[in-house]
Amino acid sequence: MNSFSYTRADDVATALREVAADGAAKFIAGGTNLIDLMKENVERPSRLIDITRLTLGGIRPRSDGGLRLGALATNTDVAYHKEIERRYPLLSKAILAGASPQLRNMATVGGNLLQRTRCCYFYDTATPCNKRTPGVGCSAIAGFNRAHAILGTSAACIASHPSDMCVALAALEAVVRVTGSVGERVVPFAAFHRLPGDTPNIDTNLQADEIITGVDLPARGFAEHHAYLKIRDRASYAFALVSVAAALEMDGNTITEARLALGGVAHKPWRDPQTETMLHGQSATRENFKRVAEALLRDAKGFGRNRFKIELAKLAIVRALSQASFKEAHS
Amino acid sequence: MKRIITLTVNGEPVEGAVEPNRTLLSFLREDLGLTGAKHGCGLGDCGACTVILDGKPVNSCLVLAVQADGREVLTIEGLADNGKLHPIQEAFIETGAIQCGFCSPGMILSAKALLDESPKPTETEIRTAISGNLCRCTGYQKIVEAILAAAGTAQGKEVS
Amino acid sequence: MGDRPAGVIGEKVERIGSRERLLGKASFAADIDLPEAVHLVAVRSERPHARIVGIDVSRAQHISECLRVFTAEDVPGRNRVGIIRKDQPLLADDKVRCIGDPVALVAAETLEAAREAAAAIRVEYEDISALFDPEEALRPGAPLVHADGNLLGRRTVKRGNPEAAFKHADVVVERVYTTAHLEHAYLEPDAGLGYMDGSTLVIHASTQNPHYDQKDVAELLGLDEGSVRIIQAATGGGFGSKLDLNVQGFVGLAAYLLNRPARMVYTREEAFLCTPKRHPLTIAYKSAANRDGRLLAADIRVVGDTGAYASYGPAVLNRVALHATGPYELPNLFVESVLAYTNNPTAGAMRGFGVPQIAFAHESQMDLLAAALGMSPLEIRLRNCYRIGSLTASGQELTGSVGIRATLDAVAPQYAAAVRERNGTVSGHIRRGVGIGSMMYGIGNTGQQNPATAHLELTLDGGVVLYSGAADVGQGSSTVLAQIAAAELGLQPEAIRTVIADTLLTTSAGATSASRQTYISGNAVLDAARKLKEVLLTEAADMLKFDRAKVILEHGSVRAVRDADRSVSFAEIARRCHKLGMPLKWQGFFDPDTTPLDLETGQGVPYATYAFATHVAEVSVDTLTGEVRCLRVVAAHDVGKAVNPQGVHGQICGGVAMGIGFALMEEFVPGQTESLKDYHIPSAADMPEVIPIIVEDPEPTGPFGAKGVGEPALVPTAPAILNAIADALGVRIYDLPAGLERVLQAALSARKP
Repeated sequence: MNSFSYTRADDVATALREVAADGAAKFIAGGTNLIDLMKENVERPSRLIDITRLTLGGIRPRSDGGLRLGALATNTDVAYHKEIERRYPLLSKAILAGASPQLRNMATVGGNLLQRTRCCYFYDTATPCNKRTPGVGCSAIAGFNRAHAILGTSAACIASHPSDMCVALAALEAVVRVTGSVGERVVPFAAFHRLPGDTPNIDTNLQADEIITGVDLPARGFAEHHAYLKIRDRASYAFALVSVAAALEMDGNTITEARLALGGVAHKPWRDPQTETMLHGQSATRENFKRVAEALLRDAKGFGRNRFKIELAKLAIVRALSQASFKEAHS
Repeated sequence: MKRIITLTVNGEPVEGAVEPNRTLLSFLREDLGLTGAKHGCGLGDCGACTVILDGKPVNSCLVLAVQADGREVLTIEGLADNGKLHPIQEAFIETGAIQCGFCSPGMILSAKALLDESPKPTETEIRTAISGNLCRCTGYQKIVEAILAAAGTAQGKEVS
Repeated sequence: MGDRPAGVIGEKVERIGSRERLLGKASFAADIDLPEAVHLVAVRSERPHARIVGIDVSRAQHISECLRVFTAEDVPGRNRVGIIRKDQPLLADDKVRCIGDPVALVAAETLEAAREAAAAIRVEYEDISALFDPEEALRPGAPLVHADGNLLGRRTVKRGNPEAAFKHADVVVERVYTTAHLEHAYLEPDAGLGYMDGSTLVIHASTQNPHYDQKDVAELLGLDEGSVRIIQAATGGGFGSKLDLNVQGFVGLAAYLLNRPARMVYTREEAFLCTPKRHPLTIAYKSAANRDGRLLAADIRVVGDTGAYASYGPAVLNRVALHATGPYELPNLFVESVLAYTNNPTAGAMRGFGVPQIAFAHESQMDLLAAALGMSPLEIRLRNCYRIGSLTASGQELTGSVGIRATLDAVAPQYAAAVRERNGTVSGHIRRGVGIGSMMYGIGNTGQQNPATAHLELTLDGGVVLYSGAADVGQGSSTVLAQIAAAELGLQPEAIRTVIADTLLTTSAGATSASRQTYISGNAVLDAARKLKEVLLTEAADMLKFDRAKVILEHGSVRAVRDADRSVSFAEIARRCHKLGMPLKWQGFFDPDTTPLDLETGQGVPYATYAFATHVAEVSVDTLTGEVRCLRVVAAHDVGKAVNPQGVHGQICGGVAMGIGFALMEEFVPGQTESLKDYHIPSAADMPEVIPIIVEDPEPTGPFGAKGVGEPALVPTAPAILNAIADALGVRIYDLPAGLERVLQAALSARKP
């Protein structure tokens, strides 16, 4: 790890002031990804501003019936929170499908949103990577890309987003609350992360002088009809090759609303609300699920070793939707 | 620039002066001589560095020492009570759950944190709780047996 | 042997070293406190194959805490290491042969400074065409990895007349199998430290092979062997990788030349980058049987990638050829195994020396033949497995301890139950499958002398000290050896003090490899114990004025068989011997009875004994995602005699885990895989229930009948799992690992009409 100075912020205003004062400063909370990246020399901050003592923890009810997750609530806090387990089991399951108990004990809501890709070339400073150094080229496109994206890729980057939690939050249409020098604003989850385009170095629409203060969950948690399906190389402690968060509203066997978010396949949790509407008013049948899966993946593109993910994603979507719909029939 | 930190390690107050880029693992091992926590990967992938921080197991290789300021740390060295092994340690011997022993300290601390929260875990809960602690020698079976046995002990049942 | 105490052989014994490991007090090499030690970091090649034009160390030398940069010129002795073939420079001289080759070594006051200095060193290279494919490496005109050619070696085994036999066979099956590079992924990255103690260089290292380390370090530095002392630190797993020198040469060089303690600890990335891997093999396997399921002939051709240096490649080459038939009689046989140098990472020893790979092929073939004949997989194995009097591939007659049939019989009920359960389980896209895998494994080195020595000393206070050079890397050899000594001397194992794997205090036991320590060192310990026992009995009889034949050993004394009051303690005997000037320390020796193999036909007696095993794996395969869950593994092992059953169970469960990794998820991709994030080994959540079954067909030449289990534990698992996947899908996978995409592809092709 490079040398850096360290300060501990006691309130949000101080934290923002400090980060604004130093372009190479970074916030640190759980640190599970940042320290990792610093050890690999991918991140070299001049200063770390420790925000763990800010009062941004906790999980509280909101007046609209939803819940607010504090940015510093740990993954463990959220996953095992009684109200989350009861009302947002999709979120709880997604979190528990990721990382390890130790990492979940440290990792925070805000940090999870800011996780960076696990693309091995991004981590390997000896190889070109546009995300690390814009303009030098992407080693993954013609390289070892088994885990890489198949949707929303660009000629500059095919990295995939590693989070499980964010896939569930995307399906739940959570809202990210951020505070900056100009005040507070809310960002719909779909607008928080970015596709790589020509600027793969920029992961999110969070501004340099902003801090995530929390994530709001809308009142609807899809507790009755949901599924988080994660497909990976081993049963725990591995990033998704493909994951699917499926959330349904149903009336009998008829789907009245469908949400589908995919993980491991794009630079951000992947949603396509237009395509999801194909399911509205339809019955929960494999054929209907297959049609929506085909449609969701119609623009998918493989790059060699990751081609299998296109078929895998389709199969996973059908499976997740079946699971989500199946529950009602048997509960 | 070094910063002074004070924390509680294995029940004792500890003060140290550390550069901000030092990890808790390196502080424990190099400054305090507590080498029970191991450096297996440095990236949070193996769990050999697991310690209990404010009651929760964490990868000490990913925690900055300065972030542990004011907090409470339990390492494997603090688990036995005046030389008397903790029931989990006893159970590890009894069931033969140790082979090379490199993962054992972290494994045992993950188990302790589990049993503190859930004294009668199921086998699945145990496997989940230690899924962040890799072991290449044992296949985990005897480790799971040991934790089950220790959970029995905690209820006053004999380790078998 | 009425005077052997109960509760020693075959009983539960607390593993030596457990307590300090549990308390966090065991000293692994990185834990040893030596504040004045300098830190070492190697500068490693980023090129796979290049001539070194120049090394510019000037910028490193300006870093204040950097003490010295070593390059090949600084190596005072022979700058070549390697246990079988000395072809690997400690520090590259003329050229680099793979990514990760060490080019320079930095010594600095702090680790940070050492890293900084290493990063500041500029190496100028001139690239040479690199080879990444062994077949390509063997073509005429290919660039040379080593001056004397890219062929590491070729081993053939020939019996009978396979060509003629194929013509008369009822079924012939021919397939090609491939396996990937694998990483050992021991939990403790390689580490060591060295310092001068007077004129002796002392090195504490994480090693499986202290006496070999001593030789190669001495030769590197131009010292006498006696001037180098290797002490094995607590070692966090090895699985074959820590048979080669890792940090020992570096810490030795720096400590010796700087006359200061020196420490080196590999990062995990370094352990991935520059330690040996499992050989990837391509196996073309043709085998034939007649209508009643008897194997008639096999033609087996194996080409493997040994990477940049020989390491244990020659051992793998031989073992693959000799184990290519599996535990089955095959009267007509042609086997050729070839390993080629490439510019990939060095492949060396990894738990099983190529046998796990070849077992995947021979066990797949058995199932394919069975299917072609409409025979059950169990039945075809029963019809062909070795028995007393069978001739192996090398023409060796098996005369005792042939437990393969017993392992098949042991799993048969479980196999039948699993098949019934599979047939009764119908669940749409989830398919159940059951598979069998069997194996044999020759204990000890192949067709060569590989002796072990051990010593037992009676101390003046009546204690017994066991001295053995056998490195215990977690498998529990120290405990087993203490049990053997204790059993022979009428003691409890706790009463034996052990001095292990220190080249000053112990003599060579050979390497902890080839599943050899229980059998070979066990016999050496038994030999020493018998010598000591002889003295104890003779002296005691003399002291008691009693018939030598009527005294026995019991709890640290010798007494009359029928009169417990007439006894003398070991301490009394020790003092008497001491006064009389008699030796109190006895050496034991054992070298298994083997003969070298015929160069052309591969015939001979390569091993004195063989272990056998059969695993049954039950899997579920999700045909819509390619996910495989291993649900249960029943693992029957003929170990001769389980000296320490709990340890045997531990080896089996751990071997199964490694086998599951080999079957389903592990793949090291040269140049890509650099952390445990990219390289998945099974976690607790991946492991099914493992049911170990110990089969004891005593080995007449083994200590108390024991053979070995360390490597056999791993070998049958992957074959059993792959056979189970084929059983579930009706489509077979020929390439390991059977990762998600391969299984998915197989499942999709199975669904097509």
